[in-house]
Amino acid sequence: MIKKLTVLLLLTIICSVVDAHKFYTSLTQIEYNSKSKSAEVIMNLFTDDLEKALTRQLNHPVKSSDKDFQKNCFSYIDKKFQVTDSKNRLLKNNYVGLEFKRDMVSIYLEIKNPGDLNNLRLKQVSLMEVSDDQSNIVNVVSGNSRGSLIFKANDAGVKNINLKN
Amino acid sequence: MKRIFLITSALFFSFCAMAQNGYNENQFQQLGETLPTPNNYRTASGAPGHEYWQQKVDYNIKVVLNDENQSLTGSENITYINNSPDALPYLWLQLDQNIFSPTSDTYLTETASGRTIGSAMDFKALETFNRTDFQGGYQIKQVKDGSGNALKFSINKTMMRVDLPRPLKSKEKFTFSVDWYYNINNCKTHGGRSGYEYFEGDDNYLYEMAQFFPRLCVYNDAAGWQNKQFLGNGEFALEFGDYKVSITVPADHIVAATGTLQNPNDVMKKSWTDRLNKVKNSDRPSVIITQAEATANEKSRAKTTKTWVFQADNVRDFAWASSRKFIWDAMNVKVGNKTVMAMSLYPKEGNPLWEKFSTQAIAHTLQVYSRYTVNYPYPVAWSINGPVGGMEYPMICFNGPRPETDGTYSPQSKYGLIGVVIHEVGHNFFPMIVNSDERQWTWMDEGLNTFCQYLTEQEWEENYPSRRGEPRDIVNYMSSDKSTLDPIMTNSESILQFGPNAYAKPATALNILRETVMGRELFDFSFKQYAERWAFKHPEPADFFRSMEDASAVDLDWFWRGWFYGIKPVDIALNNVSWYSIDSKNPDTEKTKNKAKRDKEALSISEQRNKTSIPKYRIDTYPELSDFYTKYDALEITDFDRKQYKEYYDALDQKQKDALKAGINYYILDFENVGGLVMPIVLEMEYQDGTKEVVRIPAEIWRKNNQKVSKLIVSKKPVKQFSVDPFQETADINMKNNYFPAKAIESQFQLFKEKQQQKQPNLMQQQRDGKL
Repeated sequence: MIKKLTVLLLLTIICSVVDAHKFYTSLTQIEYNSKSKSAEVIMNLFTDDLEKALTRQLNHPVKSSDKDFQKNCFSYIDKKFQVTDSKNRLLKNNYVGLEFKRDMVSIYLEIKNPGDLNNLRLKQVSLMEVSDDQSNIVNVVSGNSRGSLIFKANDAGVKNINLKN
Repeated sequence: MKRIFLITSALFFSFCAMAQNGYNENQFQQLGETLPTPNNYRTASGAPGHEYWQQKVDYNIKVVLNDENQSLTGSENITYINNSPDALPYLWLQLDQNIFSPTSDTYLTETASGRTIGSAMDFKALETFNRTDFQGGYQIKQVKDGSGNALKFSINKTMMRVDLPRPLKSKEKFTFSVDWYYNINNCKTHGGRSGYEYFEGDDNYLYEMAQFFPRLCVYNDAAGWQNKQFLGNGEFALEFGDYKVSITVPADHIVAATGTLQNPNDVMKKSWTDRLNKVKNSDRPSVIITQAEATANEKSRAKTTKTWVFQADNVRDFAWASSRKFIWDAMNVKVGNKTVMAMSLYPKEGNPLWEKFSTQAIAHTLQVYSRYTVNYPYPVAWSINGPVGGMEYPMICFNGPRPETDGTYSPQSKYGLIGVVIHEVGHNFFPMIVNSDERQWTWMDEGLNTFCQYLTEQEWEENYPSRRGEPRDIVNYMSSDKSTLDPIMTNSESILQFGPNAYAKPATALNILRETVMGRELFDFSFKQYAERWAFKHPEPADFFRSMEDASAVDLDWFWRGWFYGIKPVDIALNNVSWYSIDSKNPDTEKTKNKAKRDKEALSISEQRNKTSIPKYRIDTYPELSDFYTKYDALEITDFDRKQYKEYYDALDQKQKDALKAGINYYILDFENVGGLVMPIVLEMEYQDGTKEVVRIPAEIWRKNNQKVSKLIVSKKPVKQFSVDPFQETADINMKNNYFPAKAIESQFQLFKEKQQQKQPNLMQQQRDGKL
């Protein structure tokens, strides 16, 4: 137990000294499209943090200019961004593509036939392992109803979507 | 005309019916009671008052860099000049290095939130942890007064209190000295706003040094001693003063620092000084130390040392960089009637990106910022490439972006470098010159600076991809749930989402203020006025808010209240449009029109069926039942109608006759403030003939009712489409309710799906590989 605590402590020290002018926030928009009956997801992450996360996971240097960056991104997001239905079944992320904007990367994906978004559960723990300061905001819109979820390193479990008018 | 009367009374009614009750609920309530009471130090107009004062702190610092074990030994003589009206029994100094102390409990407050170990663990992090046995933090060896007597001092985490032998009276000076030592942090693994980087390839170190000496805290009228602990986010609050700094480094190191080098002949090669002298005649960057010279120098290992001596006057801080790896280029920049030397230092790892963009970006920043604020007052401006991602100090800043190892670079790296250089050099103006308290208000330097950065980037090239500043780019953040948002007026260490809150939102708000609320001319004059008033002083938020109003005669209290004190977003809906035209009273037109309208009205199902099911009406069988009313049709035009109309028409004046002829259209537009943040209404009308017109309605339309307003629009031409905020200049988070008739809006997702645009490849690599 003591050993674990020390590891935790030192690890936190390493991670929590923030680069100057660096901050760790991601913003995900989920919007229900009633025509296609799918939840459309746009996830915005800092490119350099995503590179760092993939580098750690794959154990070799990853750059956004790599040929297989997109593929690696998608399999990473599969593990970090998960939507489950009311019966706790994992819904598939159908990837549409990704787009670079300055220092951010936007990942587009669709979840087909999720039913009422209000019954869904969500996990968004992308980049949490890169920084203890990472916070992931998820905004959910369905018609006129809205809701937001915030995931932080110390509070990163599965959350219920709760929409309000 | 009766209908028009009805319209106006309806309008009047709708304004009155929604009157608000309760104190301070109206967004247009003046900020007077929220802002601090003006006094002799800070006036109600936002300027320094006639008794404004601030302390002055002069430093004479000597440091020795140990390249063998990456440590720093220093001693400083500090002269503290008490310009306050108060007697001070003690002085507070900032010991920022203590954030790296393993015994410091600064980190403990962060771990206390109960981070689970599993989610943090991976091998790479563990490796770092295994390597790390870093003994950071200051070791304060002694604190002595001017005569060499030890002074009593007490350290509380990142703050040190020095007790004075007797209280320092107003207008008195106190001179004392501090000796210290600390291990320099590896910036790549420990993070930080300064530190070293180790280059494995050539076994060299590159140092970016800041917060390297115990620095006086600010003591002022607004905060007393600003000795709030340094937790990592809230940067610094510092006094102005004159610095003389002697930096001893290995003899083959090149040193850049805040200020002017006092002994170039002792430390520089003659070839460098010769090249430097020639820079004055060139308007483009020229090289002082070439890449070949720097690469050769990397191999040297000097056994001796050299001492570089710098002097900097009227600065609030001091930083420096040192390495034997540096390439050096320089350019002369004209600012006002002075010239400034813009210079960059970078290792070969920074090329070819750095030689192309860094110094030009410095020069560009100095020129554009000087136009919007005050002329850059210092003799030099440095940009240094090293381990720090981006961090600002007076006259010198540290910037991280590098190209790929193969010498190509992605557009993200290119614009990343130009953007960060503009941003960090821009910090010379906010907070190095306009010296706000960063520990308390991050937005006062980051927000204002990010706004100026946007203006500067847009002047670099057409459609420069600025990250922050455009209202449409803040929409995602602004539409987040309230539980995830803070007002801009939140203490630096407590902000939930640092980037969007302290950088992007204030920068966007200022851009909206400039383009949509005040207009460029009024804004630019007021913004410059604020910078001029508070250059080399300590402004507070109220000084900014008040100055912007004072210089423009625009009541902005609603704007500060909404954008800076609130978290509500902009969402203005155009709920309904009612269309009215003038009743011409001309029976030939009106009755014909109404008759046509009546004929078009659908018959009820009974009416339809009765047409065939009733063979004969009673009055057909008994014609005597018919009378005048049986035949009368109110819509039949009579001679009397025509006579009456002629009388009416003749009584009209020419103006009224013209209006009748033009067939004017009256539209009543019902707006709703769904988001809660009041804003001007930018309304575009597309007429049936295809032409467009934009009407700009000031935010004051909401002043009596913040939730719902109706607006009468009079137009000769019929309107086909009304659009609210057609140029996306107000950060309206929901465009779906901005159109009448309603218009389908393609979402960002659908647009992307259609484009199926793949990632921006590294085109330089593709070109090299023959793929372009």
